[in-house]
Amino acid sequence: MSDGRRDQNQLERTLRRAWAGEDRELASRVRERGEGLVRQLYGAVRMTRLHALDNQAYDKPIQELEGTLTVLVDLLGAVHLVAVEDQVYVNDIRVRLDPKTDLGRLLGEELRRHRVGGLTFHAVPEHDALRALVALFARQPDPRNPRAVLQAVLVNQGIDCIDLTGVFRYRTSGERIAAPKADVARVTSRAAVLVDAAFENLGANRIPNPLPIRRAVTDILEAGTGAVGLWQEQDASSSYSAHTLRVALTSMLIGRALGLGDEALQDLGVAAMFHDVGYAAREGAESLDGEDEDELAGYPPPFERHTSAGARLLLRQRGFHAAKVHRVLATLHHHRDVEDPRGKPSLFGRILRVAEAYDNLQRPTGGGMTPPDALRCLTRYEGSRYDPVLSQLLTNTLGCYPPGTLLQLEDGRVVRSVSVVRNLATFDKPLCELVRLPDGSEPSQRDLVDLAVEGRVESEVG
Amino acid sequence: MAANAFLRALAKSARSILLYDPSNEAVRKFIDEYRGAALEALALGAMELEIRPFEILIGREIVYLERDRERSVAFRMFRDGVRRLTIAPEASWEELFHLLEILSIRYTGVRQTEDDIVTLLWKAGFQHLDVVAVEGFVPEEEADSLAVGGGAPAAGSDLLGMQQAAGRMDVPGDWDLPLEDHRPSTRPLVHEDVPEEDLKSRRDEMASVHLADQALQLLTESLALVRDPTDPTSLTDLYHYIGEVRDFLLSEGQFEQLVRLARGLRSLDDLVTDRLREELGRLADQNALRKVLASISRSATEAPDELMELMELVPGDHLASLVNILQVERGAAPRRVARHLIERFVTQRLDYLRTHLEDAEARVAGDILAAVGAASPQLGLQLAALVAGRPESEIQRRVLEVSRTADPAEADTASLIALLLSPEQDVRLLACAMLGQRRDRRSYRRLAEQLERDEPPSFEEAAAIGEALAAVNPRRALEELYPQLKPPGWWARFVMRNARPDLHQWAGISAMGEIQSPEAEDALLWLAKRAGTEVREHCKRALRRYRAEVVDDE
Repeated sequence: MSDGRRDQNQLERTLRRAWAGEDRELASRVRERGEGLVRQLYGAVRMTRLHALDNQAYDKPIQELEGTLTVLVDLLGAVHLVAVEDQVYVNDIRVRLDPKTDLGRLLGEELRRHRVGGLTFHAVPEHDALRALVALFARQPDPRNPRAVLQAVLVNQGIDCIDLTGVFRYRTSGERIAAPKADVARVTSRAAVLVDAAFENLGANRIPNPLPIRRAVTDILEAGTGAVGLWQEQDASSSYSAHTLRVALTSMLIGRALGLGDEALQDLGVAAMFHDVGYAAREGAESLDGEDEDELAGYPPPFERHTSAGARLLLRQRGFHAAKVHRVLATLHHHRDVEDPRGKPSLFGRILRVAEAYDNLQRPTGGGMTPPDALRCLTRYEGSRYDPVLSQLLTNTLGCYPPGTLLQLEDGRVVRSVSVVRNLATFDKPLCELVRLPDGSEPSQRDLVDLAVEGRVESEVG
Repeated sequence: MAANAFLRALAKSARSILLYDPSNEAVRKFIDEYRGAALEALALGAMELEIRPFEILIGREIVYLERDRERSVAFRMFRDGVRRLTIAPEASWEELFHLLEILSIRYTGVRQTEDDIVTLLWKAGFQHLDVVAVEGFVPEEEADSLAVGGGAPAAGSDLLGMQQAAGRMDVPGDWDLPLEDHRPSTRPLVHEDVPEEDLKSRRDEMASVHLADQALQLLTESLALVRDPTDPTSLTDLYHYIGEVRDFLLSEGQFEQLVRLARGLRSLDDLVTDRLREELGRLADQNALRKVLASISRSATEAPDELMELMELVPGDHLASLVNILQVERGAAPRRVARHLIERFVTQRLDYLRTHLEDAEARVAGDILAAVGAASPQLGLQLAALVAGRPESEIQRRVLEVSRTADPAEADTASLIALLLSPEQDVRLLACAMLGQRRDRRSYRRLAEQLERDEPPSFEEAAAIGEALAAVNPRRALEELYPQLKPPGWWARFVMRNARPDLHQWAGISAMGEIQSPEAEDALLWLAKRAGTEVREHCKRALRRYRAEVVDDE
């Protein structure tokens, strides 16, 4: 076969796979309803120039707007409408508008009068709330801080499901052009927010959206999975997201040591971020009109079923994609032994098994072990519970004193390991932060102590 | 100029997918142009491209300008957040091609929930292409703090759609607990090199060749959960995925796995629902069967076993699907295999086939006839009689084929006679030969009429007609054709000397070669001595045949 023909076949194959991976149904429904949202919102605002707000002529347009929002909220959870120049996006999906009507620009102009660039609907506003929203946009903007005033009026009227966002513009060239080497603290806190939000959204029966998580994983990989800051205490918003982030980091460390390529590493990181999402499911939940919602909200699955519950939630994502298959398998398999009678778990499942056990063994409510003991525990059960190669790779990567290990130095100082193995010579000489001075007092600042340069370990602190 | 040509070629190639099917020749031409333009541009050194909404710059020079957003490669990249693209002269064709693939995906408007252009470019792991990307749009007034109503999402960022959830978490406090029994090993933690083959074997698990198996494994395990009375997983949770796996396996030509999928779904017979039946049916509906057939080897003559099994496992009117496929499929191999599959339905669905045979276009009718004939020569002859009078040569050839495979004694004379009217000589020749074998005297007159038709037959055909006449009714042939060789009366005989060949005489010579009688030999000998060269040679050939047959008989 000629090179040209081969290239063409390859291109055809790539596109076919891309098409297969697309959730065409969701995207087209968002586009379709998004177009309706833009048209109806702009139409309603324009009508205020013709009719008083209590005019019955409003009933139908507001009902239509309400209907569109009901569908979109049902589909997406929160609905984010953003107008940028003459384009409108609904939850990042660009809405196709008829260029002849110039609706995108017109709606954008109406919003920008109040220095508003977008609206977020966290729920479907009631009919009267939508009327009020339309009326607010029709009135003269406050000369000093129009958006803040508008938002304040909404809150005062008890409409707390709508947020107004600022005006947007496309970035121009030269602005923040060089993506900075990801700032570690920002990377982790953003990832933590995303993990919590993904959990919440899946729990609310929304379709999984791995793209934001994938971007966060990319940032982590850019920062380097061994970056010192990543292994210090996580600035996570919940213990769940802290655990999830640690498991993801550990998994990616193992994956990197295994020699996985960037694409597989990224997929592994995303899989790890979703691995425990099954706890967001609610079993026995029913929606019965007129009943107390709390009583019908169901309950989280027990440990035994959280893997299958997670798989169920993740399978709600539409479109065939290799990453999705690997992710769902990993979620199903992440508590299975390497010698499971049902068959060998998937590679991601085995990696997660090691990474999660390592973290759970350290959790205060779990094993309560020190990091080195947790590692030793893995080595004890390798071959039966854990893939021995993966477990050894983790040991090789984390070293004798994995991040988080408290060490008593011979000179009386207490330090905490904050680095993974930097090279073979530092297997037992990590970079540490100073926790206690020899006299037992806390240092004024947490200086770094590189054991490869100075200081000798006397013992681990349990 | 070179950079401009490169970017134009890149845009054109990526956009060509919108206008043409990816397999179209034009797409290949555009790819070739792109390769040529890339080579030329990179021969001049690295390209540091700054991406703006409508233009691309190198330094301060605009090297690409396109105001039309739908056509602009700059706008596509800019909108997705790409701000700078640097291509080193060492960039390989693989890398440049990968860039084209990514842009093509974006041009076709595919919006994957898994990836955007930035993650796709990152994943590509380019060695000689450097991409700087930012998020697509930003708040214009980042310093404009909200006095009231804070907490709106960080607009334009990837937190859109996610941030509102924080703080409303309901994770059970005892997740993943209790832990299994665990005690640390007393072994010290030591570094141990892991053999490369152990690493490789694990990395290989992620190779794309395993994807079909992994997709099926996931489905199989999920179906097991459906069966598990303690697990709330239901078929409703899996319908979409079943469809996705099916489409993937079909598009990748993974039939073995497709059959496994069908087996897995059939194993749920006790749980069957309308939707499941529908999903199962789609495993072998017309679309599916066509895809399977289209991917079959060009040399295949029979349906692969997997396909046979698939059709057995999957309910549906497969015969109707196959007949419909014959109407649209052009490839020889898929049609051949479809015919082979239709053979399986001949005995039970003959009426269906008969109906479609009569209405179908020539090629389809021919294929149906061939399938029926291959399954049952006798039924084939029955159906051949229905279409033998149609003028299309595709059908006529099939009728001949069917007649030839059937016992000559059973071949239908009327069908063969109808074929004598075929516009194709080879069809008429074969029809003559088969009528000769059939030895049905009723065909004599129609054969003889062939010598009298408006458009006279060739000498080759006249010879075939003569042989057939002799075979069908030797006595009558001798009686009617003898005078063509040795006419009564001296004047006629005189005229015949050295005369140019005549069609009737030519047919007569062939007939005499077939008739074992002294009169026939006499006529041949007589004419051979007196005729011109061509006729003499023809007579000699007939005599040789005559004598061979006499010897054989003796």
